[in-house]
Amino acid sequence: MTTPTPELDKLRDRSRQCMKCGFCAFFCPVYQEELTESSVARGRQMFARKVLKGEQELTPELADRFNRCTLCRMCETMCPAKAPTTDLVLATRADLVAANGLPFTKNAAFKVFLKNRALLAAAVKWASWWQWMLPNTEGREGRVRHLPTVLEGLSQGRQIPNLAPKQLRQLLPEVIEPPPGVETKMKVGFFSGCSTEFLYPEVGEKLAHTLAAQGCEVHFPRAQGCCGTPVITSGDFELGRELADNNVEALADYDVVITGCATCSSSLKEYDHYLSDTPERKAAYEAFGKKIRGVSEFFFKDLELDPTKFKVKKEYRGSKVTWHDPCHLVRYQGIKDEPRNLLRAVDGLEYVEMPNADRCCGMAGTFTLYYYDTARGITGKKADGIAATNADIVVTECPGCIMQITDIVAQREMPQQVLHILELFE
Amino acid sequence: MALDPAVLPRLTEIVGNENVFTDPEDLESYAYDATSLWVHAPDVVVFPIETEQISAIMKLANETKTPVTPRGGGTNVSGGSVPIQGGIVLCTTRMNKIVEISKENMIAIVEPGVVLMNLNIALASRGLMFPPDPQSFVGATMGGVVAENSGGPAGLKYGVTKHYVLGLEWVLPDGDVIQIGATTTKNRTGYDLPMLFTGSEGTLGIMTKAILKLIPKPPAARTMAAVFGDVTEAGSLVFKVLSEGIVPGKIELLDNWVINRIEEMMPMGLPTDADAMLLFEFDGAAEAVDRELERTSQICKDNGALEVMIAETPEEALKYWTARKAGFAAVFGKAPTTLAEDVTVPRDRIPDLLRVCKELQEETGITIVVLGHAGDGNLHPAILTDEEDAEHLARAQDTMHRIFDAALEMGGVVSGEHGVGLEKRQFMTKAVSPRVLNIMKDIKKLLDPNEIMNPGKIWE
Repeated sequence: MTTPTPELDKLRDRSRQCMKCGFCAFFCPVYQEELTESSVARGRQMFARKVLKGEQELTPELADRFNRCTLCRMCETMCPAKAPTTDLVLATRADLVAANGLPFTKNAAFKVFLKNRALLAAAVKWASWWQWMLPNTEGREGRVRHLPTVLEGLSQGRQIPNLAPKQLRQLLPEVIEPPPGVETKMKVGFFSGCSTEFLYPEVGEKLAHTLAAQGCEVHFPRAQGCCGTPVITSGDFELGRELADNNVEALADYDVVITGCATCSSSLKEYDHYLSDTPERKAAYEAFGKKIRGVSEFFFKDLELDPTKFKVKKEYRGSKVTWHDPCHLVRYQGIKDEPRNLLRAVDGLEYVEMPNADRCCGMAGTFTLYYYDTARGITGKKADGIAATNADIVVTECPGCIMQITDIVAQREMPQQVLHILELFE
Repeated sequence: MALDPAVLPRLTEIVGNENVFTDPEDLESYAYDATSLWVHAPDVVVFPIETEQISAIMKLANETKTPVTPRGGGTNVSGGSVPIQGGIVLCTTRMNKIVEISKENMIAIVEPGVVLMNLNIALASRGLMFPPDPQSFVGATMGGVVAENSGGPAGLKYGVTKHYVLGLEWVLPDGDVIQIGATTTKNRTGYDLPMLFTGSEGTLGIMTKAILKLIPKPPAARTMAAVFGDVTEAGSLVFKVLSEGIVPGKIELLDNWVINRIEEMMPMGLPTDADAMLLFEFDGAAEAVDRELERTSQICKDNGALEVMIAETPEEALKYWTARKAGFAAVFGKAPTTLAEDVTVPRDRIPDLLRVCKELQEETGITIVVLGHAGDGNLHPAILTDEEDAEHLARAQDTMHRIFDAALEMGGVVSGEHGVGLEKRQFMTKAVSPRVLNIMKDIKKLLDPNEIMNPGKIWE
């Protein structure tokens, strides 16, 4: 076999860590739905080894097996041998894309829209004009909103997105000063992310104003683009680098960059891990990664804010809340206790832990579009966990999870609201 | 052997298109189990969802003389689920219902694809437990647990799977479905066929339901560790404790090498200069647990233990058991290939076997790590090697054979819990007499005259 596998080659030394015990199956959300060996970490580890040995071609069928992964990192966290499954999966996807290219739909969306925020903004705006023609989700207007990768999803007959009437950049100025009477303590960059920009701008507004209230001069530079997750996880590292370079430059002026999206924060932190191909990029990505903070991380690890000082909005006082751990927060960034501490400590909320709170919600970007049935099964289990809590509100810190969980809650006609953690507070 | 062209369409008729896999990528995924060296792809993988389908598949296979290898979670460490002659892999993971749990009769009825961990989660909420605890419990499915007669650390006090199988629904190699045993704990109706099929390693048919005996979940458990300056001293302590009338829930042994790797991975203050550590768990009524723990602590101190550490909280206990689990990973993580064996000797010969391992390590220069279920004499000497280094691998295998020989000489067995499968076929002639081996072969021939049921396993 002659197809080069540059990304997998880098992992050659670590590709033999898996000892084939098969424990990953228990923890893998995809395996638990499909119950087949090719959809679990051990299976993928074996494929990667065979590719490296030249015993397995980079076939479309192989691509399918590697795309059937939500990248939740559960297998890796629980793996006794700490085999680097996420890295192997991404490296294999990258080599597959380098060899065979991206599927057309992804390619078109990535090349045109994600690269150019202004163009994506225009497309999304256009989409929001004609969405009135499409069937509405009965009585749940505004609750079911789907991704801009929708551009792709639409073509596959998925549920229709309700895009925000106004995008975040139409709502927020470039610089948000602390309110009168609050001393300016520091200047921070704000990275919105696509979902916050187009689907949940109110979360972005809330974050900017909350930061300002803490004495941050918040800068929201317009040149920022997509964090790169949909591109990088699809294996298009080349375009990933373009997006990364753009964001590094757009946010060069700030020592701290904050985002309310767990996927974005983990992606920005890991540019170096996946994308560094030159010494210059390595230095730039490494330094950039160190500046990135998720919102819970910034508030409770950096600023060490007192959770009891937070004030619950009137409409949520007395509510029972439960926390869903986004994969990108709990396993990619190790943020687990901070949001729980807040929800437990604050006056006016009753906290209840949901079973399997740290299990993947099944969103995983385009995974949910390509592997709809499997994703639905995974999300269904999440919904079972939520139902068991009898909570009024599911709280989390990732727009992707909010989208997926809102969807299942609506479909099952469950009573829960799904909110970003910031939305609970005044 | 090429697959009879008639087989595929008929398999599709039996289980439906969505339950028949023939993509090369899928076949490759069913070419291995948890062993290092055995790999062979099947020609087709099928996922039946009910007994009648398995029966029809076996009738078809028997008619066309197609090999069938049953497989569940594929966590076995014998090569037992590797389809060494190709043919059909019959995967039971989609038959994963717990059919019944009866607290009154203290039984559970399960399908073959139920994961052991899920069974015990379901049982725990009712105050019950299925004690056999192969360390693959998070992935092992009940079909495999029965077929391999699995056991683990709990074997010391609670025995292994065969002590808990009351009855089976079983598909014979010719496709006939039989019900054997009953839901009663006592049953003296002729030969004990469930006992024969438990541990038959997929060579005599396929389990479609098992009736399992359960026990009440012990209300209390405590953990204690004892450190020794000499691994053989630790070994002899095991039978000293037992001969005092104390049967701990578990006694696990970790040698110096393992202790050091654990400390590297997750520093928890283990004594890195200690030659060995014994880890005890006592379970049962709280008062009895306290008394046994105190008494054992004294016995350890009286018999050369350098230090005895008692876990004061469940969290601390968990730390020790996490370390024990990490030990397993430490061994595998340190070498590209690990030959993990499970020789078992009578308890009073544990120190002798440990001595043999030590001497062989010095003589050959090959790293032999010992950790295992010292409590029941089931040690897991692991030899670190590299399958891609043929010379080293050959020497490692030779060293392992010498450990087997030593164990047999001590009245031990070559496999305590993993089973023979492919890994230990070559030792069967050493391990049992020709007459005994022939009885086994005759039983096989009686039930599977066409030799289609997991062929190539147990003997060569």
